[in-house]
Amino acid sequence: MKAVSPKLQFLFWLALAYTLGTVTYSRAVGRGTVTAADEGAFKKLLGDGRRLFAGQFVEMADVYFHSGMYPSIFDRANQPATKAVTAAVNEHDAHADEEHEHEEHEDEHAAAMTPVAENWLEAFIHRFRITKHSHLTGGNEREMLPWLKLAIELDPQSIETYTTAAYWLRKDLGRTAEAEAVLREGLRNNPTNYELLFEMGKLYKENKHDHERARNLWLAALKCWENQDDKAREDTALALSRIASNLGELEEEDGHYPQAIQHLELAKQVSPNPKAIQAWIERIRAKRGQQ
Amino acid sequence: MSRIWAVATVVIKELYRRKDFYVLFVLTALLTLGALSVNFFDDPKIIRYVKDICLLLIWLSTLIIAIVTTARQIPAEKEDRTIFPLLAKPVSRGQVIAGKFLGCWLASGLALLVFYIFFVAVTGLREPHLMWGAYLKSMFLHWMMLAMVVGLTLLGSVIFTAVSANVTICLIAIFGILVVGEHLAKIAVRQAEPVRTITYTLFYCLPHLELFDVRAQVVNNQPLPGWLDCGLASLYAAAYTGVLLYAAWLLFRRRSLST
Repeated sequence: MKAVSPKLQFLFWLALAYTLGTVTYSRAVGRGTVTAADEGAFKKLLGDGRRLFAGQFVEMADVYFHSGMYPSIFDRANQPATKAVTAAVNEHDAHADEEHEHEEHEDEHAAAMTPVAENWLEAFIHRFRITKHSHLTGGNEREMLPWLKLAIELDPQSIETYTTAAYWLRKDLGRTAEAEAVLREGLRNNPTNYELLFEMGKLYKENKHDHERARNLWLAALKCWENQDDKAREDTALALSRIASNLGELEEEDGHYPQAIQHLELAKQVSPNPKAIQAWIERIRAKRGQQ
Repeated sequence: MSRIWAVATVVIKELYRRKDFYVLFVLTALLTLGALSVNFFDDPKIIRYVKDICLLLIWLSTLIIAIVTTARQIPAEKEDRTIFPLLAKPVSRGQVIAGKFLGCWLASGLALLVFYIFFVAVTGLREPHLMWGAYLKSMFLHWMMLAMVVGLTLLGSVIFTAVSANVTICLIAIFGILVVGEHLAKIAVRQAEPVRTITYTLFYCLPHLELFDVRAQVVNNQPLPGWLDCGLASLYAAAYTGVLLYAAWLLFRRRSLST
């Protein structure tokens, strides 16, 4: 019997492997056991274990936000694990009367981020490190976005990552369409999440100046917040304060004073600064009286 | 010096004859260009993550090239029995050590130069202003660090008979220093005696390879240390390399050459 040449053997095995592969795949698709095409490479490669790495990517975004100056895990051993890149999303809601407190917090943050040398060798090593605390500005915030995008891919249930990415896209980079796309992706993966609805409302109010849609989104956010169980409502009372106070502000701007007062009364119940909200209500009542 | 140079040139020739460098360079280029081709929010100006990935790959590749090239020098000479004709010529064992070190260090430097040219070319695609001074300093410090790595691996090749054992131990030690070396003093504070004293001793005695890692500044366009600091770092590297080579020579001069 004549021996078959190695090239022909190779071609035979290649054709067989391709045929078996395509037949098995199409049969599996028919049974619905194959992972959906839009689930992404990370899910196919890592499965649910990918969520473990998502936090690491958000931290990378924070490192970039600080232009590379970042304390190590050893420096952060006794410090709270807040990230400036995510904290900025909530901080920009702070009212004018909280400005002084905000500046103090910034100083504390800068001090916490700056490494301290405890001996001559560490002092020498620090000469080769970035030791000036700064945040990205002037459109350079875009450099954080790849890490946030990867974090979203890795953990589609991490709400903070969507809101952070959308915030930076719309706030300083003016990429409203991309920010909306991020939030829509978040809502597809987490349909009843009030934080995503709230952030979408901010986008419609601040960037698109569409008060009608912003109102509807925030009312939907309020409803989603209320639909949580008692324990979750207790834990997220601050979110209610943010939604209600933003609704109050919107209604005030549109001249709907009774609705504004109604929302602010709700915000006052859970706000960490009820006196400021009460003063705000009084101002609206005075405006209403003048009409 | 001419004898040391003669030994060194053989090592440099070996680098471009072997495939290690080409494989690692192609891998680095492919991964970097792959990262560059990813579209994030349709923004063509995003570049720092590409620089970060490229520099990380350059660090890994050059460490592997330096360690693997150095680790096989003396064992290969012994195994092939070329060490005997080499020492039969008027070349002392000290000159062999110095020549091997010089060859490996220069070969690593050449590889580093090619990698950095690629890095600058990739960065230039998206960054309008290139920081030539920063790249030069970064490459210089990186090369100084590689001198210590080559010295350490050469010492390991005299101690360990198997190349694989030397490569593995050197890689673990070097990655260990790069990751925790800088933080050993902070770790020591939290330890009880005698671990505290041992950790402090390690902190002061180990060569701080991480000192030469200025990738964060290059990636984030931050100012690099001045030339005076770079000079001091070079002296630090020279001192440690000298100690490592001296130790290698002390062991090698009385070592039996038969395998």
